[in-house]
Amino acid sequence: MLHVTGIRKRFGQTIALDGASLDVSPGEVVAVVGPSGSGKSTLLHCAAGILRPDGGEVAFDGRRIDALGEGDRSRLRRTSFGFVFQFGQLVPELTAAENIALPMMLGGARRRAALAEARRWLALLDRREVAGKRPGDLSGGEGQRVAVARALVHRPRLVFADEPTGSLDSLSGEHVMDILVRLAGDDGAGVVIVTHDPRVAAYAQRDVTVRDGRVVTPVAA
Amino acid sequence: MIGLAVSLLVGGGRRAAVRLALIVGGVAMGIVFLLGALAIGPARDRADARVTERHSPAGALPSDSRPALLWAAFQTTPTSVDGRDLEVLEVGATGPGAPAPLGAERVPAPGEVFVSPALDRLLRSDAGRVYRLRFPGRVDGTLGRAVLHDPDELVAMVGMPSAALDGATRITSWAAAGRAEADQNGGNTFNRRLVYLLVAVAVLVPIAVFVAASTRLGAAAREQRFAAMRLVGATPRQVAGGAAAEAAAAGLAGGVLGLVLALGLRTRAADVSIAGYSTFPADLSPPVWQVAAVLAATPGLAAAAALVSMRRIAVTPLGVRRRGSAGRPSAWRLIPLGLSWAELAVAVQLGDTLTEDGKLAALGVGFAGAILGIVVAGPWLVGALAGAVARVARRPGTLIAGRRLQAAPTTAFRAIGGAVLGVFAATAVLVYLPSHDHWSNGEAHVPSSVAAPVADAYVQVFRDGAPYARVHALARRLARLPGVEDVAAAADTRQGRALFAGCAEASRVLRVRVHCPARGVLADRSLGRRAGEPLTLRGARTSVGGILPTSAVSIVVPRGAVPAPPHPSVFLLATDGSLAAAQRVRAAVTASGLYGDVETAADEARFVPAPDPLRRQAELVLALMLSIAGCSLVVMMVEGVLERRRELAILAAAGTRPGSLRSAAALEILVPLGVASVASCVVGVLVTATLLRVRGIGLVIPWQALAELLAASALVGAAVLAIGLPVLGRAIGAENLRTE
Repeated sequence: MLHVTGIRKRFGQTIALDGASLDVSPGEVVAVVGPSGSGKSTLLHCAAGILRPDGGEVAFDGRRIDALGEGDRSRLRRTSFGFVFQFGQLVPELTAAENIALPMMLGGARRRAALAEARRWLALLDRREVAGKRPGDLSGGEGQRVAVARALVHRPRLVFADEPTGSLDSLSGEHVMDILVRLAGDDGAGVVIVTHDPRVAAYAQRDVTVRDGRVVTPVAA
Repeated sequence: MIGLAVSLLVGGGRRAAVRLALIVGGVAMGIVFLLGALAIGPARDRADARVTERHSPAGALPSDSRPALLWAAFQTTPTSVDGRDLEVLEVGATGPGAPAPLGAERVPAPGEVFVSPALDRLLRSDAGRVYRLRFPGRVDGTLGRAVLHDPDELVAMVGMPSAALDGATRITSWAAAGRAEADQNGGNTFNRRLVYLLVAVAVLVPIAVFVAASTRLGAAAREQRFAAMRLVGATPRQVAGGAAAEAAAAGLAGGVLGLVLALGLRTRAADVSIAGYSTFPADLSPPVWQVAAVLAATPGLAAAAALVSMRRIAVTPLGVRRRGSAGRPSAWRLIPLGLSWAELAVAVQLGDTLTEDGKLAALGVGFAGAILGIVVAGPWLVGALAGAVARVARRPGTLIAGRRLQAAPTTAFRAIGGAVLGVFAATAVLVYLPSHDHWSNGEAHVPSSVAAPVADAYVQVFRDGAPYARVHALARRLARLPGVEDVAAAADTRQGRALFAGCAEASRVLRVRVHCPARGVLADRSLGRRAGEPLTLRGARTSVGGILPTSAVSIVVPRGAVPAPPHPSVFLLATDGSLAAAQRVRAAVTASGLYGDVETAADEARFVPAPDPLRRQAELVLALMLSIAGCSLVVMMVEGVLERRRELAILAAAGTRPGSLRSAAALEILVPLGVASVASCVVGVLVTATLLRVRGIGLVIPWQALAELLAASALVGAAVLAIGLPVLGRAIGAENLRTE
């Protein structure tokens, strides 16, 4: 489904990626691990079409996305990908339900239908009571659950998660990972998780280690 | 702690230096605006004081027998040059040792003319060469600031023999003459004071907002630093003290820089036309105490703004947390606005029982109360509006904008407050001035420009005790002037202006075909006379022989119908229509020694209506204020975008169209700005209507001017977006996704 082949990326004089490759199959959970500054997040950003690599190829469903324009890449991210970050991903002024509804509204859904679907997802997470609360009023774990719901509500084919439990205690982290992996799996979505936490990596079917901008473990489908 | 704060401020590396430069630059800009606004009033007063002294210097005592300067203003024909007013001062000396006139190094000798720099430039220019015909004497000197209102004023000082200056003011010493009081124009004083009061109050608020906003630049980075200081043991009080010291130091630096910039920009600012004229740079300086007060208050204001902003956050060793909001603003916030209105209503009831100063105080309190009311009620309006927008939003951008405004209506209103108050003050001025003009003009339409003259040239002379021979000499002189084709004499009668001329002559000077009747005179239709109706003119019985095809004069008296008066007072001239002929006519009237009123078609065609100075000044200051408010909006928008760049970057990473983010940012500015501006305009009209009632003046609403004002407000919003949106483009870059 996702094929990243020999991508390179520099930021000024700094080489962030130097020929990194990654493959993800439908329904597969892949953990990208490695020390700080190794290029994990840059690999995720290039694979998701947020950054355009300087060299190499990124293909999704057989289509080169590194060659697409910004508008097409945005559309692809909006329709086919979901994202979970460590923090700051919820719009603080919107309610939890509105945050979840946002990707559907961005996709053209009517507000009422989007909010109804958002509430269904909150029920699925057993967090119906937080629908009207704003992110500032949620606990860290609740906020990340809402973020997971927002990443999955439009039924993406692939979910990218960058340190999704980095700001949570271990129990909340486990709950968030349970939900993320279970719900993504229900829809057959692949998951790419960037983490340096072995407990999070343990949820993956396969680890990919990045060091000095290169993937040092074998790429196996 | 203060030393540590200052050293962190100046020694924090490149990013800190950039932040410091932005803060200091922002404060300096605010100070430049403020000093500029403070300088306008004194500049006007100084210029007016010089004109007052020029027009009415105190004369020497009769017992003072020292050689005197003879100073005659207003004794010659008030006239115009190149469509602008020209003032001629006639001066002479009774003997050697007479004091030099104001603005000149010596008394011009008879036949010499000293001119203002603007008139000198005009006379030397190719286009203005024709006006030299007006100054047959030698132009031999330039007048200085001491006698001029402004650098663009057209003034000529003509040297005369002392014998020709009967009735002129005798001045033996300017020191003895004393400095005249500024602003002797009585009836207009109240207007000026009121307009200055409105403008001063309206200007101070946006400047304060701008200075406070500037000192908040880079607040997020600074707050992180404070958290780090707490981690190493600083107490909350120490951190707050450090923040205040840091802001005060930046405020002081910005204040000093602003003063230097203001002094440096003074010459350029003096060239800006205020009320249709520029200003002498030396006039454009506020009183020293005001400069000192501004410089002293700026660090204090900056420190206070820092302390207030610190109260909204909790700085802990583990980071910075926003304190919970005080809840949604309620409708109770409308009470101060209602109270200010009630105060004005009481003033209306008291009416003429109040003195002028009492009225000014009542209006000042009411107006200041209305401004306070708008400041207090504004967040409620923004909150209510934002709630409505969020409820009906169908697009994500609208929903985000509505919810953001709803979450922090006070902050949102603070960002637009300057512009909204500007609209309020501008509305008050724009409504007050035409209402006052309409009232003072007796509810009648008074054209702003002089009516076209009745002939190519029209000369009315006022003998004022001079011998009749001068009048006849002038008539002969006019007839001989090159370019003058005909001169017809007229006289003022009980029926109006009567032209005593043959029909051919009347046809020429009136530029219409006049058919003389067999008997009687021709009467203008406006006299309401019918043909054949008897008429007594200059004591002689005659009749209306026909109706005039023009209303240029009341009656045309064909030769012999009624004896012409021996001494006419009015002359109608037919000329070749040239500007040169017009100037020769004016020069001849001036040289006749008679006080005369001259209108020429050639000059009137060049007439430039003088702008209303109060209105122009108010418009200038209000434009300045909208600019300041715009700067504040830019600062706050940029700061707002930078503070939430991670959220925005994540939304963009998740595929949100940049257009949706831009529309959210735009709506956050435009929706509250637009609605609050309209509301402010409405409140401005209502408050001014009440204010006018206190003075017994009817309301005139200048719809077009108000529409232009709201358009200007929208333009400010658009300009802010044009500057701020590119920052949004950078803020949603992937580099902001990284977890630090």
